[in-house]
Amino acid sequence: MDYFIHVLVIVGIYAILSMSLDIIVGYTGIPALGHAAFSLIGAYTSALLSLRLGLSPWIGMFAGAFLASIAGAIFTYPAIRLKGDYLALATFGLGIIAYVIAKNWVSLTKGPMGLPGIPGFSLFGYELKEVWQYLLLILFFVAITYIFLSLLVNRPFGRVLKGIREDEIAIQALGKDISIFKLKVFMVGAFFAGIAGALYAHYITFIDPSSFTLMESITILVMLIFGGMGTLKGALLGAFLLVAIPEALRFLGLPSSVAAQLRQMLYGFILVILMLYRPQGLIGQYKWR
Amino acid sequence: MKIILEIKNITKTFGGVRALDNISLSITKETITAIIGPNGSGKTTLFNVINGFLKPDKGKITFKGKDITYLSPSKIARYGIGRTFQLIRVFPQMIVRDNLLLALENPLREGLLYGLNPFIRYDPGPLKEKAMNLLTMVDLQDMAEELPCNLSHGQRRLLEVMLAISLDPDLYLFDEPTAGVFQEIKDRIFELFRQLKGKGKTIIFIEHNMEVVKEIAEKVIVLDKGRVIAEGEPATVLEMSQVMEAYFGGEFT
Repeated sequence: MDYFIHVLVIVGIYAILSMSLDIIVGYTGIPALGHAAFSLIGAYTSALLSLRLGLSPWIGMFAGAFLASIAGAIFTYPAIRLKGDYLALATFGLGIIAYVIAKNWVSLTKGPMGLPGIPGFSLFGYELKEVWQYLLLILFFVAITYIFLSLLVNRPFGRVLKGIREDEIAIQALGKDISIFKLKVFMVGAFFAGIAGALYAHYITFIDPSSFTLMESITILVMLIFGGMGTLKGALLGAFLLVAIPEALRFLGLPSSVAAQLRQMLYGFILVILMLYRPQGLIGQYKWR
Repeated sequence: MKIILEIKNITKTFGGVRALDNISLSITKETITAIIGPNGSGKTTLFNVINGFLKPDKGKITFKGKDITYLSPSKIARYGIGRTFQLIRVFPQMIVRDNLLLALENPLREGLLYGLNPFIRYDPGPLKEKAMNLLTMVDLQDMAEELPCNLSHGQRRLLEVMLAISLDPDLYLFDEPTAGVFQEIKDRIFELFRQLKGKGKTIIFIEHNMEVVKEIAEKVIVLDKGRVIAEGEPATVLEMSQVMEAYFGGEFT
């Protein structure tokens, strides 16, 4: 039973990540391939604050999210003038840089050895130990993320984001400063990705750089493409299906060496089929180029 | 006779091509000016330089007494210059009414904190009403919930014009607003021009149809190879021999 609940916790973490990527990729139309970098910053900040300074994971989580958000702003500021594929490459670079720093700044992050023994969350002096307790915690954060992001995309701010996605020239002629909006949307996306990273760190209690590779960014993007971009429900659906389907493969009784490869193949296969027959994703509204 | 827009010695080159060659112009407030000229004479480049999409190599543009030469396009738009494009630019995956809301929305409500604050109730009602009134002006009220791809070419052009009008600028730049549209819609667009002028707005538009220019413009500026070759009242300018030559490659006999 704990196994199923664990899978749902992972679904929840990915749901936060894919929703926070959706406002950047799906709503604003910025091709971003480095989202794992923001969750890396959130995870490491929170983990280090609680391990080294003994701070509560709650404080660590918000510190991590703010730091991710600031990193998002610092990165976006020079990169935002790039367009299309070039911007995609820049975000790709961000993902690599964050990974490489985490791997090589050994004095701080212990490099590839990772950080074990990260303390868990506690609520009103009561330490969360059971998986179902974490499930409730994560569902709470999924709900919070969903509520804030859906407020954002349904308000004038979100309308301008869609306008940027549809036509960058026309939106400027209407007096919108697109750089400012892109900067802000990256900050919000990075913030929630940082939250997701911190939740992951305190739930698993161990992180190392390999949890935040480029492949992870791609996985989040694939979830988004699968569920449908430009709708938060699509991001939720994509996260659920792409975590649940590979887990279901375990029950086929395949040797583990085959199952892992099969998962990669499945991702690729799903993407190709989707691009051919339903480029906007299962319940998406926006076709990505 | 108040000057609203003054362009001084603007030069813009693309590689070896002088798209604008030391152009100087001044536009009087509350007038309708037509810009004509053969293809490649620099008309659209001039618009792009005025509203900031292109920066000139040298020269100065003054609008309402302020130097706007190196401002960003969004700043220039907010300062009061609206425009439409040669190829229609509307927001294709947003319904017609939401297109207008983009232009009508109060910028203060477009902030991030306004967007994230759960304690504010965002009520788009009055704006939607305003958008519907604007759409009714051009008979598009029944299409308010449609996507722009379901509109005819002419209706999309009207929508684009209404987008510019929703922004409520002081100076309008219309880039070939009537190209390829049906007569009835052309008349409607020119009717809008007259209404705007009546409200104290200034209009510059690019046009190829001489009959239209004579009928609606008070002033016409003829561009050729990036230079102003003639300007003045339509009736006199269009008779000038150099204008004929630029357009037809020779004088009619």
